[in-house]
Amino acid sequence: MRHSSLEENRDFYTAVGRRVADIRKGRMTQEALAGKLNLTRTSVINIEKGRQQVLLHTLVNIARVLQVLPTDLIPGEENIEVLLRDKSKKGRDWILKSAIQSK
Amino acid sequence: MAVRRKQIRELVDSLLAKHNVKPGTVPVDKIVRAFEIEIRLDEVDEGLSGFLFRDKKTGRTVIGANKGHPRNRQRFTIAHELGHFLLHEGEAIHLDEDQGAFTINRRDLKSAKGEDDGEREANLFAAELLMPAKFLDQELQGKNVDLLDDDSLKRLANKYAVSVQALTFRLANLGYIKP
Repeated sequence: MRHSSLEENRDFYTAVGRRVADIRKGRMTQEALAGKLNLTRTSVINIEKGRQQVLLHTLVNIARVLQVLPTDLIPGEENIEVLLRDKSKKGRDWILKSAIQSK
Repeated sequence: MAVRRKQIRELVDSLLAKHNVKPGTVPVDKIVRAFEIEIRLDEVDEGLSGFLFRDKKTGRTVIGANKGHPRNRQRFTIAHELGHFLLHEGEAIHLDEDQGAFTINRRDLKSAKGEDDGEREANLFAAELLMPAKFLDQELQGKNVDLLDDDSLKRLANKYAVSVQALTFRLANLGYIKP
């Protein structure tokens, strides 16, 4: 099994956090979400910013509190940032420009 | 996963038959486009060689190659990416680039064996496609390959639009040249 650093998966957790934030906004404040999860508001902020690698059971709890499916919070194959996360900057720019923006 | 030599040879044979390819330069662009894959040639950083992009939702597929590289190398890159397309279905985006100092670490993390085999398979596919064994067998029939001089190697490489280096490697692989 390969252990990955926070840095390597940053884009993934940024994408998770963005989903959490997008869904939470309009439903409740960060404080309210933190209260229902028994977390501090700082934790919620860190999760939304992708600075904290959210645990699986926490993710399931977040989904339950926000009344969405856990999979709604998980970025998958459709997320281009996730697909490109392990590529070099030059390579990422090339693929984005050549294959995606040009169509 | 081991390199699937037999399957790759059969796959290439069926492509060559389907496109009625004769000894000489293999029309790799035509073979790629028959899969409704777009080819994009871009002038990009020297360290980048090619990519395969698959949009799973729309089914759109793009192969990119570095326009700044020699044409022979572009052809090999395009064939290599087609290999990934046909052999490694799961991968939505594949990028091939040289490993500069920066990517060594990244690479180490990834060199869990499977991925290196993936690269080997794509390389073998490209070599099989651009330098089909049956054509080389015909070309070299009755010749003492050990005595092949640089000029005849160069001529043969030109005929197949591959680099002398790639051809030499291929001939060694097929057992024509003793290491």
